[in-house]
Amino acid sequence: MNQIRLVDTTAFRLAMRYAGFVCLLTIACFAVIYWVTISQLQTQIDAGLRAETAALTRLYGLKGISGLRQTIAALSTTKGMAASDSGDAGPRQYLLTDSHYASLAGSLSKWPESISGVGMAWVTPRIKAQHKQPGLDTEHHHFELRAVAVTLPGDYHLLVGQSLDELTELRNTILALTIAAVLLVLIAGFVGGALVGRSVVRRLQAVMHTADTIMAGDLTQRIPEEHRRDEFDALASKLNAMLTRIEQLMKSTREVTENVAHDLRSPLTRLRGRAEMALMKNADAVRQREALQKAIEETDGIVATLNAILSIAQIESGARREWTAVDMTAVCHDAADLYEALAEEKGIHFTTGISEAVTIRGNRQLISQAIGNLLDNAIKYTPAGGAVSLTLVKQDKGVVVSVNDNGPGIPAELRERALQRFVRLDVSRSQPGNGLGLSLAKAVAEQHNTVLSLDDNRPGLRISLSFPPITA
Amino acid sequence: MQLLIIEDDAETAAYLMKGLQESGHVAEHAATGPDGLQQAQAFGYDALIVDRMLPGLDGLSLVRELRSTGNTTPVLFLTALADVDDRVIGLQNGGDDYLAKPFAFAELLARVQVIARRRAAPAPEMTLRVADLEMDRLKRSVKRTGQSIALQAREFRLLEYLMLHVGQVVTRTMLLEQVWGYHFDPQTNVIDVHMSRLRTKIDKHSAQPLIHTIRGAGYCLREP
Repeated sequence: MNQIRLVDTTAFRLAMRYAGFVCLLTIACFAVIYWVTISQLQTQIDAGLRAETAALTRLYGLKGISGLRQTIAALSTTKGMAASDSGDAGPRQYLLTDSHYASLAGSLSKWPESISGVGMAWVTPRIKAQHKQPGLDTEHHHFELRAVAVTLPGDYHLLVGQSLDELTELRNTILALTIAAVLLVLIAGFVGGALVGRSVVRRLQAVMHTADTIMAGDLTQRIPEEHRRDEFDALASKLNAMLTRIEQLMKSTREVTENVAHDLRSPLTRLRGRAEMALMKNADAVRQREALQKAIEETDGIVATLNAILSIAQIESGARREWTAVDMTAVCHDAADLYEALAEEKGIHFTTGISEAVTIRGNRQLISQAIGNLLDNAIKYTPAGGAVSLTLVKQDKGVVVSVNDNGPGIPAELRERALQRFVRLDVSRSQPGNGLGLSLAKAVAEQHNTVLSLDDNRPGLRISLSFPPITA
Repeated sequence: MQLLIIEDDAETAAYLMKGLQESGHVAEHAATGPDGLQQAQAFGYDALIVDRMLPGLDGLSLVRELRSTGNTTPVLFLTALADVDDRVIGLQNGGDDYLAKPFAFAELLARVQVIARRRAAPAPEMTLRVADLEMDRLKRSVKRTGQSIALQAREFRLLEYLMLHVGQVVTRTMLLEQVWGYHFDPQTNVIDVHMSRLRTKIDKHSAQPLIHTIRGAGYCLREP
């Protein structure tokens, strides 16, 4: 399903839908223009016809029927020519009849049946032209007239008509324009939609291609970003960040599995050894008891290591994010309170510098555990007579917790390594512990978007956790 | 004590039964959720030891069900899920305490005794007395044979917890949870250091020590 047909793309469908909408709008626009123009033209024609009829009626009053006949005869041959030359209202048609509707003069051969001779009537009859007119193809051409009929004193009937060719022409023009505009919109929509659709498809196919590669097992693949700062780049960068996170998690899971396998092997071997010792033939009751006691201690150690590995993995996977406001002052006092006794027992001078009323957002248990581990390490590695201190400082940039000692410290080149899981620097091999304390502190730090930094305390080690300030 | 173990793993159940009986308690066993619920409702036990994962009816639902019928028998949850979140969920659903597998038997016994007696014990008084040791919880003062003993705040809470559970074994983990509010293993023997300090202040000048170390379990404050 990797191939997307162009016509199926959202962009194309939207473009076509929009083009259809614009077409309807265009048609509506032209319809309004047509209606307004035609009705105005009709009003003009009607007014012209009325004026002419009135003029001819006045002429009849002045010059009688013979004068009118002459005028109409003249108009029937000349007026039409002149009008169609000037190209405005089109040729006029006239008919003057007696009381029996027999033609006396005019360009029309016969009184149109649809007009009764009495009063005024507005119709659009179809009648035959008697005289050959410019602009009319044949003598027997059917054309539309807008006509007005009056009955003159003496029972003469007069009809003045106006050809509506102009209107028809205008109508055709507007219709042609409308069709052209609609076609143009449709073509533009089609081409535009296809172009946009193609570019969208191209960029999405890059995403799908990456997804395919990743599904095939290559987790290092990333979606190419085009640096246009558009929504696709935003999506790509988010997806890439997600992929990086997934890769990290996969890696961390793999590491955990490997570490569990590796690091539990030796305590399990020892456990097995103890059990075998208890079963040895020459073991007396006291030795058996001792061996079993050791076996239990070994088991506890294994469980503790397992718990530490799991809790680091859990923290790194982003679980346990139930954050609350944490009173860091209290957390530090509690931790100091717990470990101070340990330090004194070892003959280490323990001091604190804890600022009042410092609050951050986080997980209290995890932060306590991280600080506890740092203090534990510091006390463990500082020789008797040394000094360890815990400080909590609120700065503009955030809250900094530091555990400082004047013990042997960690050489700069080994600091990065010291943060790795299970790594126990040579000096620490003789000390009890599973090598996970610092890893856990680091995992907690990362979960809290915090940096765990190791610095030279000249002499000794200074480990700091810098929490970002609360953004309420 | 009369105890009911609701646990589907036969081996674990047998080990718990044996241990509890050797400690002088009467223990019964139910292997499924529905059986456990029925037994717990039918007999008045002093405490229930309930596994979280049970066939038929899981431990959480079982305890919820039990509580909805007004049964207040103390419950200790037993689980392979050692998460802090799981602990909170367990306590929210009517559990009184929570213990992750694998555990030391001494830890389980100490916790069961504490939750079982919590129910029976009358409301704690403001003045606690164990032999010639006296604690005024209001004035926050401690005296041994009339001699005032100066304790730091945390030492006071440690002693208070021990005196409230006089005669009972309290484990290091329990102290860490109850006195410090920490739900994690602090790697080293910090609790032992604190206990030895407290011991120095309480027992040093007396012929009869009150605080005793229980090997493989924890500590106990008891009348001589």
